[in-house]
Amino acid sequence: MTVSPPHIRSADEIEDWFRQHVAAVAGLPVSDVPGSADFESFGIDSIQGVDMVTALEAWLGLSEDLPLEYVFEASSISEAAQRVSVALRDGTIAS
Amino acid sequence: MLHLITSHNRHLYSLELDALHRARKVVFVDELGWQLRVEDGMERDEYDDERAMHIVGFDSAEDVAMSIRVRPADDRSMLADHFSHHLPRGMRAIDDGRTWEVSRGFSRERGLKRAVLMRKAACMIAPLEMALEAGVDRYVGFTDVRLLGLYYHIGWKIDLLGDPMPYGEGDGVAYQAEVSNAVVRDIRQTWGLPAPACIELTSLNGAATVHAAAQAMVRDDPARAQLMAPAPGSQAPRGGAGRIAALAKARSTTANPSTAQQSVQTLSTKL
Repeated sequence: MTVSPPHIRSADEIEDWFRQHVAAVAGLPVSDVPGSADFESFGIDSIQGVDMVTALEAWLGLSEDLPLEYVFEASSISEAAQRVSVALRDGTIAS
Repeated sequence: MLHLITSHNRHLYSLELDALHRARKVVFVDELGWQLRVEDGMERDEYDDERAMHIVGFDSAEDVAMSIRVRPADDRSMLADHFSHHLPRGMRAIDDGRTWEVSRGFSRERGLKRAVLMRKAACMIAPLEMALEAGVDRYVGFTDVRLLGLYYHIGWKIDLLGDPMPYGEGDGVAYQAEVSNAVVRDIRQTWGLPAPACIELTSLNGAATVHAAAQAMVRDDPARAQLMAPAPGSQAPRGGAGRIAALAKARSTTANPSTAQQSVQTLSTKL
């Protein structure tokens, strides 16, 4: 049986995922969640934040934990998506 | 700053303990909607007795920012008294003398940056440090399933005791957590925490308040001083949804038992 390598998501795809997730948690339309915004500005607490990263790991099909710093030390949703995408591509995070 | 309040020094903390119980009322009753006994605006229960130990983090405005309660489980425990129907048969006895219980944990500090999570980690390593010193090798507790991810990311080694099930305010699950030098070492390294994380005052040493006494203790100890949370900012979250609304929404998404179960199955695999 041939196993296909996992699809590595682009930064744009990851940003869209973040925006949809934040919108669902905050009860806002996705259009009100710009990529330039910081996660904290939506009142997401640490439990919701960890939930989000856990869901992201599942969506990305990661085989190891995604360090929280990749997401939460970023100054914006776009930057977080970029960080994760780069880490996936250069193998810092195993998928 | 994280303070340890026990039967030995609680006489120094009468104002702060009242503030702690008021904060618990706000968090558990007002925000989470738990049906708990409230008197004079304070939430207390039968486990807030002489054996209870409170780890309390104060922010720079000297308000309660976070707390967790621990208590020996050899005489009685919340898990055995109220949640025994959740426990698997044949599990190690809770009243074996080497088990403490953790409960009423909360943090009011918002934010997702490492500095914030480090302070939460400090609040969660402190019970492990105390238990190790007392020869205890296990914590037990009952938690909302949504907290499991945070426990895991902080570094607690948790085994779930049975399946999650509704407990009146959401889906909860009983757990036991390993207390060992290895766990404490790993959490300390991961988060860069001082040892011990807590300050335990035995007197005020001439200071006017416990906060002043604590400041004097950590004056030359930046690692411990950084565990002081800043006073909450006034910036409101976007959209008017707010934390409470967001929490309510998040809770509604786990209202479906199968969804909650699935999420815990995922977590337990990782744990």
